[in-house]
Amino acid sequence: MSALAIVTMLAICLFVWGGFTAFLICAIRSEGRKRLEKD
Amino acid sequence: MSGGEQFRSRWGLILATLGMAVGTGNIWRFPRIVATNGGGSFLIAWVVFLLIWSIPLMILEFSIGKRARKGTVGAFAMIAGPRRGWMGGWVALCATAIMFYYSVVAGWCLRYCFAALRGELTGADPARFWESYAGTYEAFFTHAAALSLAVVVVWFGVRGIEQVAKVLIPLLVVLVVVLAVRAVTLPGAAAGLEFLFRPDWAQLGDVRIWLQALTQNAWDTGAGWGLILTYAIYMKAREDVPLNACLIGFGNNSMSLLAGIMVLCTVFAVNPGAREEIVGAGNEGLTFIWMPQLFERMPGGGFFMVFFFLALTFAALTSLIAMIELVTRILIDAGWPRRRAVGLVALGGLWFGAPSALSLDFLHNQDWVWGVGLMLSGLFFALAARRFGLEKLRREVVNADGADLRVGRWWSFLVAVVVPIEAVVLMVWWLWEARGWDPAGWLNPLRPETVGTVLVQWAIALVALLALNRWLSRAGSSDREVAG
Repeated sequence: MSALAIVTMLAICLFVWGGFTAFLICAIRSEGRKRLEKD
Repeated sequence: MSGGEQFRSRWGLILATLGMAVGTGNIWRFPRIVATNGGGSFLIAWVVFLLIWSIPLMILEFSIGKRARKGTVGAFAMIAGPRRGWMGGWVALCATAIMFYYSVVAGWCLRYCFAALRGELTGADPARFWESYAGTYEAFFTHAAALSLAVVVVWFGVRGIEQVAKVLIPLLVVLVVVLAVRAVTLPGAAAGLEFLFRPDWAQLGDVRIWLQALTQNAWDTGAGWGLILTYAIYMKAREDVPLNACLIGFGNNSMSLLAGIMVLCTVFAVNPGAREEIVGAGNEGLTFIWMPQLFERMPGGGFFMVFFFLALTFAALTSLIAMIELVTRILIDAGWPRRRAVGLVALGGLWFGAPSALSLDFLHNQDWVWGVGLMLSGLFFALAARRFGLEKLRREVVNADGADLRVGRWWSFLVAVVVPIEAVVLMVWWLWEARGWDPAGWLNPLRPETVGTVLVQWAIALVALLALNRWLSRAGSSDREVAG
């Protein structure tokens, strides 16, 4: 693979998959906090 | 207002909405469109429109649904005033018309899933297999089967939708990940990754790439269809809106990326010489004629072919469930008990889906007319929200108690200004493009994919909706709570 393709692949995949993962972690932590508040 | 129905947990809501968003378009359209529109250049534009079309509209739909606690007709009547209930009717009509042929597509996926399991595709001529099935009474029966499966889920209400989503969506993710990993580990797959991700900077200046990227987001994420609004009716009062919208948007696009890697790496590894023919074969050609051939030439291909069609079936069914719920919800708002409403939707789906099952031309016509209609739906959402007051919506619903992310004024600007421009530009562009597909008959309403057929069908729909507006707004906003 060319260097440009590798860089673009990493950028796109990190942004999309990384973004999803980051939002998912935020949601998990938020749910954990809400559960603690309820208890 | 939601009849007591609610998603039990945030994860149920997210999985159900992800199931709505991830459909056949992620798996069979995205890879083709990326491949024929500049690969990496397209992906850059696609990510931009995730941020300035999909997510703002998803936040909007979640907030309207949560605020109104009514289906699209009642929600629009409440948000934009009773004189604009017809706009919610348009949103519902587009989703309903799509539901009629989408159950046919889900039936195709189901048929091929069984065919792969039974080894019917091994050694068979895929083109002949497809031609002897699509558009026949067998396709009608599989349409009925897929519709029945989805209807049974909706029969059990939000609990049913949530339970099914909690099983099918994680399975779908696992299937697609396994297929993508298999594809990238095939000899020659790197060429597929190169093709998919290498940007051609000159093509970034081509406006068509941007319009195709926007179209893919519009048709792929479900934003502006009214489906998210419908599921948002069943959100808990303090449920977050913006973070959930981001999760769905990024989640949907994550699945598309995996599907793109899966398909293109498979093509380049197994039959690189035919890649232009393969990606130019259209959705059905790629999925039902070429993919079986590619899997057959791959080690362990029979096994992976089952995974592929199973993933496609799960994606199609979970989207179909959302469409059926949208229509059911409107009937419930009008005072129908859920079971009777589901029954009517099932009968209507069976009957009105029959022409699409028996005629591919009819199916393609409906896909064209209502696919472009969805862009008008997105515009109507933005206009309705402007009427209500975007800052008011942002303050009272989007950033309300329970929000995990705070959304700034940029959202109001995007919805008020950018989304309407995108919607109008897209509609005009697609209709302009259609003129070139059939120069002699572009106004002929009887041909499958012309400007004429769009204008005539839209005109009939809009006249009917406007004429029935008063009744629609009253029926859609009924406060009758009906059990069952």
